[in-house]
Amino acid sequence: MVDVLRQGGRGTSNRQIRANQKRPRPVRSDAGRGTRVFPSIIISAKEDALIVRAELAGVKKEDLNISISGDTLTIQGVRHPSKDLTGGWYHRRERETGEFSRAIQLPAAVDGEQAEASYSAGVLAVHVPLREAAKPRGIPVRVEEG
Amino acid sequence: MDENREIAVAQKEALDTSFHRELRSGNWFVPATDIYETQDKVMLIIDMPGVCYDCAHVNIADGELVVTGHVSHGEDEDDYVLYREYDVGHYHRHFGLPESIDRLKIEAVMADGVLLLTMPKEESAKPRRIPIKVGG
Repeated sequence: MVDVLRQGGRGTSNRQIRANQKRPRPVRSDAGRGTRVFPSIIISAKEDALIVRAELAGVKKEDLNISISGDTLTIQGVRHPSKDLTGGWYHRRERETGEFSRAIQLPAAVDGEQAEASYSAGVLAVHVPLREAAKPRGIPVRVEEG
Repeated sequence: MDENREIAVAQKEALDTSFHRELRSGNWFVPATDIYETQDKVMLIIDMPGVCYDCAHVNIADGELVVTGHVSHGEDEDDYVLYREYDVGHYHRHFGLPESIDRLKIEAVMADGVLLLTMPKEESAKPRRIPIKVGG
């Protein structure tokens, strides 16, 4: 599976992430690595849904565009510079402004129709229900006499 | 300006908490900050995603401005993380406060995880024209 981290030609190598709910498996962590496509994300799983989170401080809700097609989630938007910044000069500039677009291939079959997104204090959380086939289910075990 | 440029990912800078006894538990980061000065004010624009307006604190002590933000909702504890590119944590940063800032008029506004501090300069520190009298 190819995580589409290649927008703007700035992506990194292909990645693999697989659905694996509630299984003690080492978390793939890229925290602290080099350049990637904005925004950084966290993908986590609940019993019946995937949750994709992203920190987007300074992006207004109306400048954010979330879409889902098949199992590809796309986060697009623009971060504008603050309005009052005219006639002066920067002493320090650590925050970038501009456009961003990132497509994320979700690691399980999802029901995009039922996806919901919330945005609060600059943190986006997209809640995407899993398709029936991708939900964990118990398999009854029959014990045979003998 | 750079409106059409694409944003690059900035790594969150971990805070060295060994100098801060008051910051005991949890992850701490140094929030990314812009400092912008005009003729009559200095503005601090501080990224603290995940911090709501009543979880941010700004204090002035010993000529320093200290900003602290607690993330109120990071991840749910019962989520099983499949893939992680950033860590969630609180924010803390000190800024030296110039004498020219009028301490009593500092204003703070929080929106979309960004704290905006507007710090007007003292009247005496603002640029002004000095009228010249005709000499004898």
